[in-house]
Amino acid sequence: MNDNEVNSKYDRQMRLWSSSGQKRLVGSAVCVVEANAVACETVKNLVLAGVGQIVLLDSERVSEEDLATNFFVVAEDTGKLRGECVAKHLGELNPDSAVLHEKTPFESLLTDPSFWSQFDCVVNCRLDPCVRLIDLLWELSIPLLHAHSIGLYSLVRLYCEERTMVETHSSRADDLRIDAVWDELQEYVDSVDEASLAEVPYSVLLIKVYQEFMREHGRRPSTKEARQRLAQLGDEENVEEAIKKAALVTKRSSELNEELAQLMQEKVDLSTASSFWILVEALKQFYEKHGVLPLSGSLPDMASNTEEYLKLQSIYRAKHETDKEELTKLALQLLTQHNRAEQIAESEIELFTKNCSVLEVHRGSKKVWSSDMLSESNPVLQNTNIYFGFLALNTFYKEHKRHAAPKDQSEVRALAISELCRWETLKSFPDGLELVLDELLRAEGTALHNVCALTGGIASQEVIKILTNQYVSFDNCLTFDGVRGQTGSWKIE
Amino acid sequence: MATILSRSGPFTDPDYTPEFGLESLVTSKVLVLGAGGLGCEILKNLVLSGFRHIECIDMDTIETSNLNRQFLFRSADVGKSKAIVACEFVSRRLARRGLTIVPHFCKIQDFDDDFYSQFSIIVCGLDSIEARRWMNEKLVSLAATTGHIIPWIDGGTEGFQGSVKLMIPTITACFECYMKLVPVQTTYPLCTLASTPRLPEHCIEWAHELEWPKRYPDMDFDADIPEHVDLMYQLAKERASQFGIEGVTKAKTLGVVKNIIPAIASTNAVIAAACCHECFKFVTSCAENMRDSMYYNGETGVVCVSDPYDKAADCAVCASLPQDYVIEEGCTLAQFVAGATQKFGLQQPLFFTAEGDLYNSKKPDAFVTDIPVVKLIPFADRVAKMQINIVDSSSPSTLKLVLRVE
Repeated sequence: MNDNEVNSKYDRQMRLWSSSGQKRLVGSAVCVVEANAVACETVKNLVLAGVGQIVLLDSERVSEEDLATNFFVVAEDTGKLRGECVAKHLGELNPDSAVLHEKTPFESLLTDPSFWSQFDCVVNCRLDPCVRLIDLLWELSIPLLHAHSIGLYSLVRLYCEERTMVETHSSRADDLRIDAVWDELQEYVDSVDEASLAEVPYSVLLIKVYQEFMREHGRRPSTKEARQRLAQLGDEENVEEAIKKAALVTKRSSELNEELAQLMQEKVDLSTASSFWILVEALKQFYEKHGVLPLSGSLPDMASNTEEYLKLQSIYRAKHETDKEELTKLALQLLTQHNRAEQIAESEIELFTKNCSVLEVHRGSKKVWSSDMLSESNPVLQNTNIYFGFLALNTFYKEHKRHAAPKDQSEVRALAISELCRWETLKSFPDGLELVLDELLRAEGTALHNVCALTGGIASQEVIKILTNQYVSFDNCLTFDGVRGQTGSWKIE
Repeated sequence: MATILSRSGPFTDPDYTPEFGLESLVTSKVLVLGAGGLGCEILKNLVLSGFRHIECIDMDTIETSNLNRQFLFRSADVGKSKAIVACEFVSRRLARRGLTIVPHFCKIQDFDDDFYSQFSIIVCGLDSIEARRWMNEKLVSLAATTGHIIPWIDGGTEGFQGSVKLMIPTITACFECYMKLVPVQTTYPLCTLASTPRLPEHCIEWAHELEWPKRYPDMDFDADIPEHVDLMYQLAKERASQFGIEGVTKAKTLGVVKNIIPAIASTNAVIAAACCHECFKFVTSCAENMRDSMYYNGETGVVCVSDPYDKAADCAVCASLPQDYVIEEGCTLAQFVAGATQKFGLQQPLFFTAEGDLYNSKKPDAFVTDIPVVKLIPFADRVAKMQINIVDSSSPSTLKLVLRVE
């Protein structure tokens, strides 16, 4: 964030995703299918955030139901083209954002990949997840969100083959390398004598205690053993901090978290893979050679005098730079080996090195359903029931061209059973599903504004994560239960 | 909304009728506290939920940095009252029969009990803990002294996170009961600021706390005056370069001196919608309410869970309130003691008034217990003129009862 942006209207969000994230939003285009309340609430939040272009695909006319649930139509709009009316009102929210209306019927665009390929993300707000749209966007590698709400319930689902996330903003502990000191750091630690012990950051004390203990016992100290030694160093503030953080002496710098270890084992074709995977392979080679990851280079604040802290900080930063250079070399070698002409931007490598211990990868699924979702061991069974309810109502709607109502209870239940049997071997009706179906029938396809606004809030947040490629997406299905006031999320494999 | 209210669902109270649901919506009076990030959403949501009588209080004026989420405001509105602009916008956009939305451009502390008593429910989107604590005390004392219980729903957000609390004064946990969950604000030790700064934040706080009053003794710092912010930034920058510390920027300076909390439209939308949804369910009874409080986090995946939350036994606001306790005309001390012991799950209670011990279960023989209670303490208009206090090992606080004869 630079100083010109202070006091700008985006100040409060750029404190989360910084100017790099904001730049990506400004340069993005999103398509939203259907202009109902969930769609408009989603678009509202995207426009406010400054997403460059949004196209609303809708060919309906403004109805009574729209007036009852949608903030972006007025009474005079009744009977007019809905997409045009809401686009006008949504566009007024932010002059930086263009909200356009596309009235070509949705079905006819399903045969036109060129229409869809102009977008960075698509949000489908119809009841129907639309398998053809899922297939089409999957082929085009465009992330697709499906979001819809009926009565007290709603669902959000992400269809995306692969999400590779670097800037995860994970708050995992800083990497102090107490047990893996390099030459420059060792030199510094050795230069700290007894007289200046009170002046240095606690990590130096931890390194000293760790090394002393290793020399004497040939093994690393336990937290308790480290504390006992630290306690003899006095009662200065840095000693107190060291005692609080003593557990760091047990942390193995060579240890990878499970996700990262798995990631390094993935088989990816490097002649076509994205730069992310080239960097992962480079990371793997780096780790195999050094037994530790490249250093992130950031230090937490630690009580100490200014000079000593800055000295230590520059040692960590220098090491980070050296590690980054080595990683860059490895990545370039890989590119050459695979006959690839492109470069990887320095800024990308910097971000990757900083975040290499907290990378996240999600692999999506095109499937609308996977087996065992309604088993008794499912911790979010009620939420899965809701998801299933939406599928059953969609099937009913397709057959009858109208929304299911309470009078259709027995038909919907029978239909639910036969649908379920396509995917699962059922011993009995899943616990709670009948009640969920009844609650859905009660609404007869109508929506409550609050549930739509909440759902649009979640959907827009997930679109922003995709566009900025920051934070961690949900993976990959959730429903909101407006009775209990909570969501449940799970993965469809 | 009309369709949902026209029928019962599987999670609806068995006594529900569509007439009740619809009637409650149009007759209830809702007070909205705050017309900012949450408030704008709340006003929109309440009207689209079917509420017809809404009032809104906000003391603030519109700033440019509000525009990324406070969607009822435009650049041309900067400087105007949030409450007035927001209420006018919503009234205009959602014009419908019988809708009245009244703005109040002032502090919540400017109103008295009579004002608050006219509302059926309050939805709160304030950004200050202190203002919420004030409101909480007001509503709890109103409930305790007059029996007028006004439920309120409080929303709060910070970045990708937020929470919702449904509070029914004197019945469920009050805002004060939740205070121990509120994180303490980061502060830096004075000696770090004065002699061993390490972070840009230390340099900024030094300028803010220590240097400004020295350098400009006749000028109070005001973060809303750009010249002041510039001067503060210069002070912090000088300090940083003196120590060789990098990273003091104007954005960071503002963030520290104004204690800026990141805010985005999507989180506000989620939290405001959850607040209004609970308000809608509470007023119409169309479905159960969530239990007590909801927590939302959208940073990593989407987490949104609701959980029961117990009253804090040592709550400074609601734990020590006197409660109404009804007895029959001829109820003896023994019957009263047995009844209260059972009702409150007491173990070895001591009952006493301002005049002395009434009954001590450790020394049962020291008291005559077959006398009616009305003979033991003074009553006026069938209500005891003296409060009965009970201490017991089952609770750290004193239970206070006001007896009433029925």
